[in-house]
Amino acid sequence: MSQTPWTVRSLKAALDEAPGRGADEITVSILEGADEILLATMHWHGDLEIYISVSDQQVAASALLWPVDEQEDRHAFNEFLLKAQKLVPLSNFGICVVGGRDYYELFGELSTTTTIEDILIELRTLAENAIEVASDLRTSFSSAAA
Amino acid sequence: MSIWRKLFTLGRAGAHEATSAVVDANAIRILDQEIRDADAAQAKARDNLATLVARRRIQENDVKSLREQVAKYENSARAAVTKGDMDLARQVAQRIADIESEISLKEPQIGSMREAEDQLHQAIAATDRRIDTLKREVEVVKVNESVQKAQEAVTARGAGAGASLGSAADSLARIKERQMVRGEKIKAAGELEDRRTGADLDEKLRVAGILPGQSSADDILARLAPQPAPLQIEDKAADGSKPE
Repeated sequence: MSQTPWTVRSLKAALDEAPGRGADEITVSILEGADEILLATMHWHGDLEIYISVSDQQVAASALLWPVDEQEDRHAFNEFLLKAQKLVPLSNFGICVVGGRDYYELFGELSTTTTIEDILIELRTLAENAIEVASDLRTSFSSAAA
Repeated sequence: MSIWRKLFTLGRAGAHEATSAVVDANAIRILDQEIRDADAAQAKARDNLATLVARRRIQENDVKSLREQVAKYENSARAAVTKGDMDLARQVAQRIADIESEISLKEPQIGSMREAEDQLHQAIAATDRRIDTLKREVEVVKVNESVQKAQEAVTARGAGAGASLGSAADSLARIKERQMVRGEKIKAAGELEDRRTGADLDEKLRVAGILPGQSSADDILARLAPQPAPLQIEDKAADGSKPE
């Protein structure tokens, strides 16, 4: 049985009812705009907010990490990310602009016909990675670079 | 050239303003231009194809009518031969020869025209696919813009204390805080329980060395000792208490 391509609304409904999710694990809401975006608040991961977009080509999930200008020894850190990101399961690092400020972001992309189970795995992994990177990697790197 | 390479080249040209907003804006512009170009090329290719098909059909009709003429002249030539008019028959035969040489010129052209048509068909199909890909890329860039706008809206909503922190950094702080709160709660719950059972007081008394129920041997002996008690009896009682 193949999954029909997701829309923002069908994905929200599916995430609300996803098998195997904790009742208080995720809150999903729709952010209105030119294109609707899903906002998943991961309560088991310090209320981390994950932005999910759905287009014809892909389902993309992204979490903001921290402002680039707050990273110590940024250039060395960037190079480190490029080298290390292969080892980070399912997620990739990027830089995006929010309110005129550069932020590190962690994101993952899936096919539009992927299963709800896989999307749940993606969200959990993304949240896990984001928290881990915000704690261990960020701090250990700044002390190593110092 | 892929959109990636174009953006990269562009980023190198204006490295200082290569923020993702600029990248997005340029991505849309480049993709838009590419779609227009491809669309224009497509229109031209379809035009060319139509012309080519029309020319081929004309050529095919020409050849067909020439063949009909050949058939007609052959009959005429036969009739002339039957009549014994060899001079006329020769003239007709000459005409047939002329027509056949014309056919042998025109027929191969039809073949190469068909080949050209096939190639155009393929090119048009490839361009159609390319345009579809470009349109999907535009969509990805546009959706990405929407994500950014949403992020800005949500970040602005949460602006205030600690707003300089990004989301994951915020969440990490929240997790640590919750863990601390949980730790405090467990400690507080433990303290409440202690108070209920009196364990907290016992602990204080124990630390002070005056825990009830754990009186020292001296205290017990003092209690057991007979009232009119000189010093030597106390010593004996102390010895006797040990086997108990």
